[in-house]
Amino acid sequence: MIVLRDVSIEKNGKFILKNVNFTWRKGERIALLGRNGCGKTTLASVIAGLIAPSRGEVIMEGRVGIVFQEPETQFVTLNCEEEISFGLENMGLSREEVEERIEKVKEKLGIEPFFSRNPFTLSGGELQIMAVASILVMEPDFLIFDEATSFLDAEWKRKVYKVWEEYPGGIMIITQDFSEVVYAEKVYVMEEGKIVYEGKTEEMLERGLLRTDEVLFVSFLKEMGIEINAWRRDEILKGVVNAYTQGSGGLQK
Amino acid sequence: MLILKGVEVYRNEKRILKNINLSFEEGKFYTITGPSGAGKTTLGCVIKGFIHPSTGEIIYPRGNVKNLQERMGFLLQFPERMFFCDTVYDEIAYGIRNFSLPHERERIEEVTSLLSIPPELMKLPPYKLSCGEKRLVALASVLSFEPDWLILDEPFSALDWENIKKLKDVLYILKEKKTVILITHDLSPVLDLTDELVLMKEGSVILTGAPETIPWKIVEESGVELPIVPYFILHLERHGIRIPRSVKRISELTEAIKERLERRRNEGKV
Repeated sequence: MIVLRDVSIEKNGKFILKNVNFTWRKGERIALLGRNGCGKTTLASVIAGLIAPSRGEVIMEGRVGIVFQEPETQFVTLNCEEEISFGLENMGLSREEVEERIEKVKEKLGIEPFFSRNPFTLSGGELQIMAVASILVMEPDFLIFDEATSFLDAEWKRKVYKVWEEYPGGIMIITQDFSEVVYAEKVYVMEEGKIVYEGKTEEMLERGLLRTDEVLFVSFLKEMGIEINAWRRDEILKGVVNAYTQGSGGLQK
Repeated sequence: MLILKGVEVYRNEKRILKNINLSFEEGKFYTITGPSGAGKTTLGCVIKGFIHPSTGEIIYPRGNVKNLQERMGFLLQFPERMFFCDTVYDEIAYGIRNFSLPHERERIEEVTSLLSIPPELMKLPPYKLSCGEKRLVALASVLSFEPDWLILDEPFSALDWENIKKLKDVLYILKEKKTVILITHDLSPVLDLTDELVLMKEGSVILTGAPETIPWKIVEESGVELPIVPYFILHLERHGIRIPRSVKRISELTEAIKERLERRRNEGKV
Protein backbone atom coordinates (compact mmCIF):
# COMPACT_ATOMS: atom_id res chain seq x y z
CA MET A 1 0.00 0.00 0.00
CA ILE A 2 1.07 3.56 -0.66
CA VAL A 3 -0.20 6.36 1.53
CA LEU A 4 0.37 10.10 1.15
CA ARG A 5 -0.62 12.24 4.13
CA ASP A 6 -0.90 16.00 3.71
CA VAL A 7 1.86 16.02 1.15
CA SER A 8 2.92 19.41 -0.14
CA ILE A 9 5.73 20.52 -2.39
CA GLU A 10 6.66 24.15 -2.40
CA LYS A 11 9.09 25.76 -4.79
CA ASN A 12 9.94 29.47 -4.64
CA GLY A 13 6.82 30.20 -2.62
CA LYS A 14 4.58 28.37 -5.09
CA PHE A 15 2.77 25.13 -4.28
CA ILE A 16 3.35 22.41 -6.88
CA LEU A 17 1.45 19.98 -4.67
CA LYS A 18 -0.86 21.10 -1.90
CA ASN A 19 -2.10 18.94 0.98
CA VAL A 20 -2.47 15.79 -1.05
CA ASN A 21 -4.03 12.84 0.77
CA PHE A 22 -4.04 9.68 -1.20
CA THR A 23 -4.14 5.92 -0.67
CA TRP A 24 -3.26 3.37 -3.31
CA ARG A 25 -3.97 -0.23 -2.42
CA LYS A 26 -2.16 -3.20 -3.84
CA GLY A 27 -3.72 -4.42 -7.08
CA GLU A 28 -5.86 -1.28 -7.43
CA ARG A 29 -6.14 0.24 -10.92
CA ILE A 30 -6.51 3.98 -10.83
CA ALA A 31 -6.48 6.85 -13.32
CA LEU A 32 -5.05 10.29 -12.62
CA LEU A 33 -6.38 13.10 -14.79
CA GLY A 34 -5.78 16.81 -15.00
CA ARG A 35 -4.67 19.59 -17.30
CA ASN A 36 -1.09 20.14 -18.46
CA GLY A 37 1.04 21.46 -15.65
CA CYS A 38 -1.37 20.66 -12.79
CA GLY A 39 1.13 18.47 -10.92
CA LYS A 40 0.36 14.92 -12.07
CA THR A 41 3.96 14.04 -12.92
CA THR A 42 5.18 15.59 -9.67
CA LEU A 43 2.65 13.54 -7.69
CA ALA A 44 3.75 10.40 -9.55
CA SER A 45 7.38 11.20 -8.76
CA VAL A 46 6.54 11.57 -5.05
CA ILE A 47 4.71 8.25 -5.09
CA ALA A 48 7.70 6.61 -6.80
CA GLY A 49 10.03 8.09 -4.18
CA LEU A 50 11.89 10.21 -6.70
CA ILE A 51 11.00 13.53 -5.08
CA ALA A 52 10.78 14.11 -1.34
CA PRO A 53 7.84 16.29 -0.26
CA SER A 54 8.48 19.62 1.47
CA ARG A 55 5.80 18.70 4.01
CA GLY A 56 3.76 15.65 4.85
CA GLU A 57 4.40 11.95 4.97
CA VAL A 58 4.78 9.21 2.36
CA ILE A 59 4.37 5.57 3.38
CA MET A 60 5.57 3.10 0.76
CA GLU A 61 5.03 -0.61 1.07
CA GLY A 62 6.26 -2.19 -2.12
CA ARG A 63 8.29 -1.22 -5.15
CA VAL A 64 7.04 1.42 -7.56
CA GLY A 65 7.94 1.60 -11.26
CA ILE A 66 7.24 4.60 -13.44
CA VAL A 67 7.13 4.90 -17.22
CA PHE A 68 7.79 8.53 -18.01
CA GLN A 69 5.96 10.60 -20.60
CA GLU A 70 9.20 11.56 -22.33
CA PRO A 71 10.55 8.08 -23.05
CA GLU A 72 14.04 9.07 -24.08
CA THR A 73 14.79 10.62 -20.69
CA GLN A 74 14.64 7.10 -19.36
CA PHE A 75 17.35 5.50 -21.50
CA VAL A 76 20.94 5.23 -20.38
CA THR A 77 22.54 2.65 -22.69
CA LEU A 78 22.97 2.41 -26.48
CA ASN A 79 21.25 -0.92 -26.94
CA CYS A 80 17.65 -1.86 -26.19
CA GLU A 81 18.54 -5.26 -24.81
CA GLU A 82 21.07 -3.77 -22.38
CA GLU A 83 18.50 -1.16 -21.49
CA ILE A 84 16.00 -3.82 -20.51
CA SER A 85 18.45 -5.99 -18.61
CA PHE A 86 20.00 -2.97 -16.87
CA GLY A 87 17.23 -2.65 -14.32
CA LEU A 88 17.06 -6.38 -13.72
CA GLU A 89 20.79 -6.71 -13.10
CA ASN A 90 20.55 -3.86 -10.63
CA MET A 91 17.92 -5.86 -8.81
CA GLY A 92 20.47 -8.67 -8.39
CA LEU A 93 18.51 -11.33 -10.29
CA SER A 94 20.20 -14.47 -11.63
CA ARG A 95 21.14 -14.66 -15.32
CA GLU A 96 18.41 -17.25 -15.95
CA GLU A 97 15.76 -15.16 -14.33
CA VAL A 98 16.87 -12.05 -16.27
CA GLU A 99 16.59 -13.96 -19.54
CA GLU A 100 13.26 -15.49 -18.64
CA ARG A 101 11.75 -12.12 -17.79
CA ILE A 102 13.12 -10.53 -20.97
CA GLU A 103 11.60 -13.28 -23.11
CA LYS A 104 8.25 -12.80 -21.41
CA VAL A 105 8.15 -9.03 -21.95
CA LYS A 106 9.38 -9.35 -25.56
CA GLU A 107 6.50 -11.65 -26.34
CA LYS A 108 3.93 -9.63 -24.45
CA LEU A 109 4.76 -6.32 -26.14
CA GLY A 110 6.02 -7.54 -29.52
CA ILE A 111 9.31 -5.66 -29.37
CA GLU A 112 11.50 -8.38 -30.88
CA PRO A 113 12.05 -6.58 -34.26
CA PHE A 114 14.05 -3.71 -32.78
CA PHE A 115 15.43 -5.34 -29.68
CA SER A 116 19.08 -5.08 -30.74
CA ARG A 117 18.80 -1.49 -31.98
CA ASN A 118 20.15 1.66 -30.40
CA PRO A 119 17.22 3.27 -28.54
CA PHE A 120 18.14 6.66 -29.99
CA THR A 121 17.45 5.44 -33.54
CA LEU A 122 13.92 4.27 -32.70
CA SER A 123 10.75 6.07 -33.78
CA GLY A 124 8.66 7.84 -31.14
CA GLY A 125 6.27 4.91 -30.77
CA GLU A 126 9.03 2.29 -30.69
CA LEU A 127 10.87 4.30 -28.07
CA GLN A 128 7.78 4.55 -25.92
CA ILE A 129 6.95 0.84 -26.03
CA MET A 130 10.60 0.15 -25.15
CA ALA A 131 10.25 2.43 -22.12
CA VAL A 132 7.16 0.45 -21.08
CA ALA A 133 9.07 -2.82 -21.51
CA SER A 134 12.04 -1.65 -19.46
CA ILE A 135 9.83 -0.93 -16.45
CA LEU A 136 7.34 -3.77 -16.88
CA VAL A 137 10.17 -6.30 -16.87
CA MET A 138 11.05 -5.31 -13.30
CA GLU A 139 7.57 -6.39 -12.19
CA PRO A 140 7.08 -3.66 -9.58
CA ASP A 141 4.21 -3.88 -7.08
CA PHE A 142 2.89 -0.54 -8.33
CA LEU A 143 3.25 0.55 -11.93
CA ILE A 144 2.72 4.15 -13.04
CA PHE A 145 2.16 5.00 -16.72
CA ASP A 146 2.70 8.74 -17.08
CA GLU A 147 1.05 9.54 -20.43
CA ALA A 148 2.94 6.54 -21.69
CA THR A 149 0.69 5.76 -24.66
CA SER A 150 0.77 9.18 -26.33
CA PHE A 151 3.02 8.06 -29.22
CA LEU A 152 1.73 4.50 -29.59
CA ASP A 153 -0.27 3.31 -32.58
CA ALA A 154 -3.45 1.24 -32.24
CA GLU A 155 -1.73 -2.12 -32.15
CA TRP A 156 0.72 -1.20 -29.41
CA LYS A 157 -1.95 0.59 -27.46
CA ARG A 158 -3.94 -2.65 -27.40
CA LYS A 159 -0.88 -4.45 -26.01
CA VAL A 160 -0.45 -1.88 -23.25
CA TYR A 161 -4.20 -1.99 -22.47
CA LYS A 162 -3.87 -5.75 -22.07
CA VAL A 163 -1.09 -5.18 -19.54
CA TRP A 164 -3.39 -2.80 -17.67
CA GLU A 165 -6.09 -5.43 -17.58
CA GLU A 166 -3.91 -8.35 -16.54
CA TYR A 167 -1.15 -6.93 -14.38
CA PRO A 168 -1.43 -8.33 -10.86
CA GLY A 169 0.03 -5.25 -9.16
CA GLY A 170 -1.37 -1.74 -8.86
CA ILE A 171 -1.67 0.30 -12.04
CA MET A 172 -1.84 4.09 -12.26
CA ILE A 173 -2.85 5.52 -15.62
CA ILE A 174 -1.98 9.17 -16.08
CA THR A 175 -3.57 10.21 -19.34
CA GLN A 176 -5.05 12.95 -21.48
CA ASP A 177 -7.03 10.39 -23.45
CA PHE A 178 -10.18 9.98 -21.38
CA SER A 179 -11.19 6.84 -23.25
CA GLU A 180 -8.36 5.11 -21.35
CA VAL A 181 -10.02 5.58 -17.95
CA VAL A 182 -12.19 2.51 -18.60
CA TYR A 183 -9.15 0.45 -17.58
CA ALA A 184 -9.21 1.97 -14.10
CA GLU A 185 -11.65 1.30 -11.27
CA LYS A 186 -11.19 4.71 -9.75
CA VAL A 187 -10.43 8.17 -11.09
CA TYR A 188 -8.60 11.06 -9.42
CA VAL A 189 -8.70 14.54 -10.90
CA MET A 190 -6.05 17.13 -10.11
CA GLU A 191 -6.15 20.90 -10.41
CA GLU A 192 -3.35 23.26 -9.47
CA GLY A 193 -1.52 20.78 -7.28
CA LYS A 194 -4.58 19.47 -5.47
CA ILE A 195 -6.73 16.39 -5.84
CA VAL A 196 -10.12 17.97 -6.46
CA TYR A 197 -12.17 14.90 -7.25
CA GLU A 198 -12.06 11.18 -6.69
CA GLY A 199 -14.71 8.70 -7.69
CA LYS A 200 -15.56 5.42 -9.27
CA THR A 201 -14.90 5.35 -13.02
CA GLU A 202 -18.30 3.89 -13.82
CA GLU A 203 -20.05 6.67 -11.92
CA MET A 204 -18.05 9.41 -13.63
CA LEU A 205 -18.82 7.99 -17.05
CA GLU A 206 -22.52 7.58 -16.28
CA ARG A 207 -22.76 11.13 -15.03
CA GLY A 208 -21.05 12.39 -18.19
CA LEU A 209 -18.18 13.91 -16.22
CA LEU A 210 -15.64 12.53 -18.66
CA ARG A 211 -16.41 13.69 -22.17
CA THR A 212 -14.95 11.20 -24.59
CA ASP A 213 -16.31 10.75 -28.10
CA GLU A 214 -17.63 7.38 -26.92
CA VAL A 215 -19.44 8.93 -23.94
CA LEU A 216 -20.99 11.53 -26.22
CA PHE A 217 -22.12 8.87 -28.68
CA VAL A 218 -23.64 6.72 -25.92
CA SER A 219 -25.50 9.75 -24.56
CA PHE A 220 -26.89 10.59 -28.03
CA LEU A 221 -27.97 6.97 -28.51
CA LYS A 222 -29.67 7.05 -25.13
CA GLU A 223 -31.61 10.17 -26.14
CA MET A 224 -33.09 8.24 -29.01
CA GLY A 225 -33.94 5.29 -26.83
CA ILE A 226 -31.00 2.96 -27.39
CA GLU A 227 -29.60 2.23 -23.95
CA ILE A 228 -26.06 0.91 -24.13
CA ASN A 229 -24.18 0.30 -20.93
CA ALA A 230 -20.69 0.35 -22.34
CA TRP A 231 -17.92 2.85 -22.92
CA ARG A 232 -15.63 0.91 -25.21
CA ARG A 233 -16.08 1.10 -28.97
CA ASP A 234 -16.32 -2.64 -29.59
CA GLU A 235 -18.97 -2.98 -26.88
CA ILE A 236 -20.94 0.04 -28.12
CA LEU A 237 -20.85 -1.47 -31.61
CA LYS A 238 -22.28 -4.72 -30.27
CA GLY A 239 -25.07 -2.76 -28.57
CA VAL A 240 -26.00 -0.86 -31.75
CA VAL A 241 -25.97 -4.03 -33.84
CA ASN A 242 -28.17 -5.78 -31.25
CA ALA A 243 -30.63 -2.91 -31.27
CA TYR A 244 -30.74 -3.12 -35.05
CA THR A 245 -31.20 -6.87 -35.36
CA GLN A 246 -33.63 -7.20 -32.46
CA GLY A 247 -35.36 -3.92 -33.04
CA SER A 248 -34.98 -2.96 -29.40
CA GLY A 249 -34.86 0.70 -28.59
CA GLY A 250 -34.57 3.58 -30.96
CA LEU A 251 -38.26 4.08 -31.56
CA GLN A 252 -39.85 4.74 -28.19
CA LYS A 253 -40.94 8.28 -27.82
CA MET B 1 4.15 22.87 -55.42
CA LEU B 2 6.82 20.66 -53.85
CA ILE B 3 7.40 17.32 -55.56
CA LEU B 4 9.08 14.22 -54.16
CA LYS B 5 10.11 11.91 -56.96
CA GLY B 6 11.27 8.37 -56.28
CA VAL B 7 12.65 9.33 -52.87
CA GLU B 8 14.39 6.59 -50.91
CA VAL B 9 16.31 6.77 -47.64
CA TYR B 10 18.67 4.10 -46.39
CA ARG B 11 20.02 3.81 -42.88
CA ASN B 12 22.53 1.07 -42.09
CA GLU B 13 21.58 -0.66 -45.35
CA LYS B 14 17.94 -0.71 -44.30
CA ARG B 15 15.46 1.07 -46.54
CA ILE B 16 13.57 3.52 -44.29
CA LEU B 17 11.70 5.19 -47.15
CA LYS B 18 10.75 3.30 -50.27
CA ASN B 19 10.07 4.99 -53.60
CA ILE B 20 8.08 7.97 -52.32
CA ASN B 21 6.24 9.92 -55.00
CA LEU B 22 4.20 12.77 -53.58
CA SER B 23 3.36 16.33 -54.41
CA PHE B 24 2.40 19.04 -51.95
CA GLU B 25 0.42 22.00 -53.21
CA GLU B 26 0.74 25.38 -51.57
CA GLY B 27 -2.08 26.31 -49.21
CA LYS B 28 -3.29 22.78 -48.57
CA PHE B 29 -3.43 20.89 -45.30
CA TYR B 30 -1.78 17.47 -45.49
CA THR B 31 -1.95 14.81 -42.80
CA ILE B 32 0.63 12.04 -42.86
CA THR B 33 -0.44 9.07 -40.79
CA GLY B 34 0.55 5.45 -40.28
CA PRO B 35 1.57 3.05 -37.53
CA SER B 36 4.69 3.53 -35.37
CA GLY B 37 7.89 3.09 -37.35
CA ALA B 38 6.20 3.65 -40.74
CA GLY B 39 8.68 6.38 -41.70
CA LYS B 40 6.45 9.41 -41.05
CA THR B 41 9.06 11.43 -39.16
CA THR B 42 11.78 10.50 -41.66
CA LEU B 43 9.55 11.73 -44.49
CA GLY B 44 8.99 14.99 -42.62
CA CYS B 45 12.76 15.34 -42.19
CA VAL B 46 13.29 14.76 -45.94
CA ILE B 47 10.74 17.45 -46.83
CA LYS B 48 12.42 19.87 -44.45
CA GLY B 49 15.88 18.96 -45.78
CA PHE B 50 17.19 17.55 -42.48
CA ILE B 51 17.76 14.21 -44.23
CA HIS B 52 18.95 13.95 -47.83
CA PRO B 53 17.38 11.20 -49.87
CA SER B 54 19.74 8.36 -50.82
CA THR B 55 18.07 8.27 -54.23
CA GLY B 56 15.33 10.31 -55.88
CA GLU B 57 14.83 14.05 -55.84
CA ILE B 58 12.87 16.92 -54.35
CA ILE B 59 11.69 19.44 -56.89
CA TYR B 60 10.35 22.94 -56.29
CA PRO B 61 9.46 24.34 -59.71
CA ARG B 62 8.86 27.86 -58.39
CA GLY B 63 12.34 28.37 -57.01
CA ASN B 64 15.27 27.07 -55.04
CA VAL B 65 14.27 24.11 -52.90
CA LYS B 66 16.96 24.88 -50.30
CA ASN B 67 15.61 28.38 -49.75
CA LEU B 68 12.13 26.96 -49.32
CA GLN B 69 13.33 24.31 -46.87
CA GLU B 70 15.23 26.87 -44.83
CA ARG B 71 12.05 28.88 -44.36
CA MET B 72 9.92 25.87 -43.37
CA GLY B 73 8.89 25.66 -39.74
CA PHE B 74 9.38 22.22 -38.20
CA LEU B 75 7.88 21.22 -34.86
CA LEU B 76 9.72 18.13 -33.66
CA GLN B 77 8.01 15.22 -31.99
CA PHE B 78 10.01 15.73 -28.81
CA PRO B 79 10.10 19.50 -28.25
CA GLU B 80 12.69 19.25 -25.48
CA ARG B 81 15.19 18.35 -28.21
CA MET B 82 14.64 21.80 -29.69
CA PHE B 83 15.36 23.88 -26.62
CA PHE B 84 18.73 25.43 -26.00
CA CYS B 85 18.01 28.93 -24.67
CA ASP B 86 17.90 29.93 -21.01
CA THR B 87 14.40 31.37 -21.08
CA VAL B 88 11.14 30.70 -22.84
CA TYR B 89 11.27 34.25 -24.24
CA ASP B 90 14.67 33.73 -25.88
CA GLU B 91 13.57 30.39 -27.18
CA ILE B 92 10.60 31.92 -28.96
CA ALA B 93 12.68 34.89 -30.12
CA TYR B 94 15.42 32.70 -31.59
CA GLY B 95 13.86 32.25 -35.05
CA ILE B 96 13.08 35.97 -35.32
CA ARG B 97 16.68 36.89 -34.50
CA ASN B 98 18.07 34.14 -36.73
CA PHE B 99 16.21 35.50 -39.75
CA SER B 100 16.89 39.12 -38.65
CA LEU B 101 13.18 39.93 -38.67
CA PRO B 102 11.89 43.23 -37.30
CA HIS B 103 9.42 43.87 -34.47
CA GLU B 104 10.59 41.08 -32.17
CA ARG B 105 8.44 42.04 -29.20
CA GLU B 106 5.26 42.46 -31.24
CA ARG B 107 5.75 39.16 -33.01
CA ILE B 108 6.29 37.36 -29.72
CA GLU B 109 3.23 38.96 -28.17
CA GLU B 110 1.15 37.99 -31.17
CA VAL B 111 2.24 34.37 -31.18
CA THR B 112 2.02 33.88 -27.41
CA SER B 113 -1.47 35.34 -27.34
CA LEU B 114 -2.49 33.14 -30.29
CA LEU B 115 -1.37 30.08 -28.33
CA SER B 116 -2.45 31.51 -24.93
CA ILE B 117 0.98 31.06 -23.39
CA PRO B 118 0.80 32.84 -20.02
CA PRO B 119 3.29 35.72 -19.60
CA GLU B 120 4.63 34.26 -16.34
CA LEU B 121 6.21 31.41 -18.30
CA MET B 122 8.35 33.74 -20.39
CA LYS B 123 11.17 34.10 -17.87
CA LEU B 124 11.37 30.41 -16.98
CA PRO B 125 13.91 27.99 -18.42
CA PRO B 126 12.01 25.93 -21.03
CA TYR B 127 13.04 22.58 -19.55
CA LYS B 128 11.17 23.46 -16.37
CA LEU B 129 7.82 23.48 -18.15
CA SER B 130 5.33 20.63 -18.18
CA CYS B 131 5.24 18.42 -21.25
CA GLY B 132 2.20 20.17 -22.74
CA GLU B 133 3.59 23.65 -22.06
CA LYS B 134 6.87 22.68 -23.74
CA ARG B 135 4.94 21.70 -26.83
CA LEU B 136 3.14 25.05 -27.03
CA VAL B 137 6.39 26.97 -26.52
CA ALA B 138 8.09 24.87 -29.22
CA LEU B 139 5.23 25.66 -31.58
CA ALA B 140 5.46 29.36 -30.69
CA SER B 141 9.16 29.35 -31.53
CA VAL B 142 8.32 27.84 -34.91
CA LEU B 143 5.46 30.25 -35.65
CA SER B 144 7.34 33.36 -34.52
CA PHE B 145 9.38 33.62 -37.73
CA GLU B 146 6.19 33.27 -39.78
CA PRO B 147 7.09 30.36 -42.05
CA ASP B 148 4.81 29.75 -45.05
CA TRP B 149 5.26 26.00 -44.77
CA LEU B 150 4.79 24.17 -41.50
CA ILE B 151 5.69 20.60 -40.66
CA LEU B 152 4.22 19.51 -37.34
CA ASP B 153 5.29 16.13 -35.96
CA GLU B 154 2.72 14.74 -33.49
CA PRO B 155 1.73 18.19 -32.19
CA PHE B 156 -1.22 16.88 -30.18
CA SER B 157 0.41 14.23 -28.06
CA ALA B 158 0.79 15.15 -24.40
CA LEU B 159 -1.72 18.00 -24.74
CA ASP B 160 -4.80 18.07 -22.52
CA TRP B 161 -8.23 18.38 -24.11
CA GLU B 162 -8.40 22.14 -23.67
CA ASN B 163 -5.00 22.60 -25.26
CA ILE B 164 -5.98 20.21 -28.05
CA LYS B 165 -9.03 22.36 -28.72
CA LYS B 166 -6.89 25.49 -28.58
CA LEU B 167 -4.33 24.04 -30.98
CA LYS B 168 -7.10 22.93 -33.33
CA ASP B 169 -8.47 26.49 -33.39
CA VAL B 170 -4.96 27.77 -34.12
CA LEU B 171 -4.56 25.25 -36.94
CA TYR B 172 -7.85 26.44 -38.48
CA ILE B 173 -6.40 29.96 -38.55
CA LEU B 174 -3.03 28.79 -39.92
CA LYS B 175 -4.71 26.63 -42.55
CA GLU B 176 -6.03 29.78 -44.21
CA LYS B 177 -2.55 31.20 -44.72
CA LYS B 178 -0.06 28.37 -44.84
CA THR B 179 0.82 25.00 -46.25
CA VAL B 180 0.64 22.54 -43.38
CA ILE B 181 2.06 19.02 -43.27
CA LEU B 182 0.96 17.39 -40.04
CA ILE B 183 2.33 14.03 -38.93
CA THR B 184 0.20 12.02 -36.52
CA HIS B 185 -0.75 8.50 -35.51
CA ASP B 186 -4.04 9.81 -34.10
CA LEU B 187 -6.43 11.11 -36.73
CA SER B 188 -9.24 12.18 -34.40
CA PRO B 189 -8.23 15.81 -33.84
CA VAL B 190 -7.22 16.52 -37.46
CA LEU B 191 -9.78 14.84 -39.64
CA ASP B 192 -11.90 18.00 -40.14
CA LEU B 193 -8.80 20.02 -40.99
CA THR B 194 -7.30 17.65 -43.51
CA ASP B 195 -7.47 18.29 -47.26
CA GLU B 196 -5.41 15.28 -48.13
CA LEU B 197 -4.45 12.22 -46.14
CA VAL B 198 -1.21 10.32 -46.76
CA LEU B 199 -1.09 6.81 -45.27
CA MET B 200 2.32 5.21 -44.74
CA LYS B 201 3.37 1.75 -43.75
CA GLU B 202 6.81 0.17 -43.57
CA GLY B 203 8.46 3.04 -45.41
CA SER B 204 5.98 3.25 -48.29
CA VAL B 205 3.04 5.49 -49.07
CA ILE B 206 0.14 3.07 -49.42
CA LEU B 207 -2.71 5.52 -49.87
CA THR B 208 -3.42 9.20 -50.54
CA GLY B 209 -6.73 10.98 -50.87
CA ALA B 210 -9.29 13.30 -49.34
CA PRO B 211 -10.84 12.06 -46.07
CA GLU B 212 -14.24 11.84 -47.83
CA THR B 213 -12.97 9.26 -50.30
CA ILE B 214 -10.37 7.35 -48.32
CA PRO B 215 -11.08 3.61 -47.81
CA TRP B 216 -11.15 3.43 -44.02
CA LYS B 217 -10.73 -0.32 -44.04
CA ILE B 218 -7.17 0.04 -45.37
CA VAL B 219 -6.39 2.76 -42.84
CA GLU B 220 -7.57 0.56 -39.98
CA GLU B 221 -5.76 -2.50 -41.28
CA SER B 222 -2.52 -0.52 -41.39
CA GLY B 223 -2.69 -0.24 -37.59
CA VAL B 224 -4.03 3.32 -37.32
CA GLU B 225 -6.91 3.83 -34.91
CA LEU B 226 -9.88 5.34 -36.72
CA PRO B 227 -11.71 8.39 -35.41
CA ILE B 228 -15.06 7.44 -33.91
CA VAL B 229 -17.33 8.30 -36.89
CA PRO B 230 -15.34 6.43 -39.60
CA TYR B 231 -14.94 3.54 -37.14
CA PHE B 232 -18.70 3.13 -36.78
CA ILE B 233 -19.39 3.72 -40.49
CA LEU B 234 -16.94 0.93 -41.35
CA HIS B 235 -17.96 -1.55 -38.68
CA LEU B 236 -21.73 -1.01 -38.91
CA GLU B 237 -21.50 -1.64 -42.63
CA ARG B 238 -19.94 -5.02 -41.87
CA HIS B 239 -23.17 -5.82 -40.04
CA GLY B 240 -25.30 -4.63 -42.92
CA ILE B 241 -26.06 -1.20 -41.45
CA ARG B 242 -25.11 1.33 -44.11
CA ILE B 243 -24.33 4.86 -43.00
CA PRO B 244 -23.69 7.49 -45.72
CA ARG B 245 -20.05 8.59 -46.10
CA SER B 246 -21.17 12.20 -45.86
CA VAL B 247 -21.79 11.71 -42.12
CA LYS B 248 -19.07 13.57 -40.20
CA ARG B 249 -20.29 14.33 -36.71
CA ILE B 250 -21.35 12.06 -33.86
CA SER B 251 -24.80 13.69 -33.84
CA GLU B 252 -25.20 12.95 -37.57
CA LEU B 253 -24.07 9.38 -36.98
CA THR B 254 -26.73 8.91 -34.30
CA GLU B 255 -29.37 10.42 -36.59
CA ALA B 256 -28.37 8.08 -39.41
CA ILE B 257 -28.57 5.04 -37.10
CA LYS B 258 -32.00 6.14 -35.93
CA GLU B 259 -33.15 6.56 -39.51
CA ARG B 260 -31.87 3.07 -40.41
CA LEU B 261 -33.65 1.54 -37.41
CA GLU B 262 -36.92 3.22 -38.29
CA ARG B 263 -36.70 2.15 -41.89
CA ARG B 264 -36.05 -1.44 -40.84
CA ARG B 265 -39.04 -1.38 -38.56
CA ASN B 266 -41.28 0.11 -41.25
CA GLU B 267 -40.19 -2.64 -43.57
CA GLY B 268 -41.46 -5.02 -40.93
CA LYS B 269 -38.14 -6.79 -40.50
CA VAL B 270 -38.13 -6.60 -36.71
